[in-house]
Amino acid sequence: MTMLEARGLTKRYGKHVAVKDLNLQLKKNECIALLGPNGAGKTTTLHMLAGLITPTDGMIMSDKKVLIKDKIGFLPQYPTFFDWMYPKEYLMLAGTLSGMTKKTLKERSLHVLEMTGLLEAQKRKIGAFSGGMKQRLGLAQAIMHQPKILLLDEPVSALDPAGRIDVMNILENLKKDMAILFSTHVLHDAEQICDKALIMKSGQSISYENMKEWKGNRQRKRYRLETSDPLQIEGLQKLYKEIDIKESQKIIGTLRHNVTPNMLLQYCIQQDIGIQYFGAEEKNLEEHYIEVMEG
Amino acid sequence: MKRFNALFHKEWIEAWREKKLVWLPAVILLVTLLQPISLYFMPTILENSNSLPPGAVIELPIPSGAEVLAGTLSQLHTIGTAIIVLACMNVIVQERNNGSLMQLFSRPVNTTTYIFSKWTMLVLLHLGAFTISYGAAWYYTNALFSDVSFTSVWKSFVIYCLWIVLVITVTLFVSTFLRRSGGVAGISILIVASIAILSTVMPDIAIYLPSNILNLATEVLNTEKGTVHMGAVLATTIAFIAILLLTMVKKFEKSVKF
Amino acid sequence: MENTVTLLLPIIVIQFLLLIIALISCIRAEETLGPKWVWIVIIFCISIIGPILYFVIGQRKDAYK
Repeated sequence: MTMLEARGLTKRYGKHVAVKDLNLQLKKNECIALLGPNGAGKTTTLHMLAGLITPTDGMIMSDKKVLIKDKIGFLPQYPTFFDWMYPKEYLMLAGTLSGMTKKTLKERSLHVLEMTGLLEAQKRKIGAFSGGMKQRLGLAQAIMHQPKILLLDEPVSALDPAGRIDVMNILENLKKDMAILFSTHVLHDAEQICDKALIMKSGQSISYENMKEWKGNRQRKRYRLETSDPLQIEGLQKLYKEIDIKESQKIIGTLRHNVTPNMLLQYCIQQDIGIQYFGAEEKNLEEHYIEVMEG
Repeated sequence: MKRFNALFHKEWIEAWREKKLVWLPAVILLVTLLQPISLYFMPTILENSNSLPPGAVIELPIPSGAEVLAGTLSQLHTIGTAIIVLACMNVIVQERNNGSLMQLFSRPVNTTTYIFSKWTMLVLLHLGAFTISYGAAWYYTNALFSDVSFTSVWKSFVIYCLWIVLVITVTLFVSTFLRRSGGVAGISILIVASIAILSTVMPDIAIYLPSNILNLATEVLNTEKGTVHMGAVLATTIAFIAILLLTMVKKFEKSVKF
Repeated sequence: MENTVTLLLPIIVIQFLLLIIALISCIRAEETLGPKWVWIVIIFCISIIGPILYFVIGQRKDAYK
């Protein structure tokens, strides 16, 4: 089932085109990362999907119907609350506004506070929260009403490493119940929990990566070789068909049709090249990203 | 309705935590009470001041109760109006600027509910403060000067309430298109002052407009009944408030840029 | 003279109340617009208007990012 579909999404501010002709499909239980440099239009896209700004052109649907806001949980890039409120009060207000019943409010707010690790901070006003805690509360309010679609604008950029891992674990769990779309600069996270990635550049979607497909693609003979001495590239070119990354002591590429990994190793031993690392290499998102950005 | 209630409730908690619920009534009460009390002590103050030559006798006419209450209203008309604008200028601007408004609007909330939750709360708060203050001023006036009848006090109260609602509505209206609270206060006071000044600039027209509210209230205090223009003034004021509210809701819907 | 005191009492009480509430609120605030001690001085020194100024301007955190 397609939880969220955008077709030909465009946003113009006067002459400036923030997002141009973007297509996107988010299926049930799917997680998609929105990647791209600053100013690529990620935030504008998320705001349009969340219904905060109206697109100049294009349409947004959910399961072939008009998307309603009850279904969406949204976390803005800089979550802002009312400083004089307690976290539980905010969650209950948010829940009520999203149409939750009074009975479920209390229990659910405690549950999401626990999920985001804020149970102990309950007694403090939001004004006394640190940036990381606000980010967590932002996530808590986004999932408060058990939305079907979760839209997150850089959910981890304000967090310390431990917090980042926490949030990623939470998202991993949420994947069971919701379709998630989030923008991020941390490619590693995107790769770990997402199935797909949409790469944007100056308002346009320039690549739609399906990471699931890569994982099944091990038969491509891609190998990484790292050495202690600078590599002599001439000899290696006979063994590698395609070289993707080449640094002085590192090479990643696809082997020629009739070359086995053992032959590569043997060659290194013969040439007395000190091997530091040798192994099969899946194509990773970072490479893709850089490739797409430069291309 | 559930959403309105939730937002309305939030406004009250906010007013309580930021102590607006206490300071606003206290300040309005102070402004209103100072008038009858200072008028009462005026002869004593003058007597005790050294600026008078010894032996000089001052004959101050003792004002009637109606005059004292009218003075109270005119005091409110200047200082009180400014305080109301100051109390209302932040309510939308702050939430819009820091982004908490955006987070609210990612939920199914419409601008009408949002604006009316604020408007209703502010109107109730200010009218509540005004009721207490005007009641206290009436009590003092009766005790220190001559009695003023309940009918005239009640009528002047209702008429003046409209002015307060108008000031609140103008301030909220300006808040929907300006982003700095200082600007909101400035422009709101400018608008309100122009309305008031109209009665000296164009008295022929202003007699039917909200500009005439203070005069009407004073008149009612003195004569117990309003002039023929009372109906017209009430109608134009209510119409003006309604138009402001409608445009505000419509405009806010279109121009909310996060 | 007794009359004078009873008359002025409410005004003095309200003014005092305003001062105390503004002071407590200011001292307990996480953050004020500008240095806190300046606000405490303002609240103390300018009667009536000092507390109002604090509530209207000083209390809020700067709304701009």
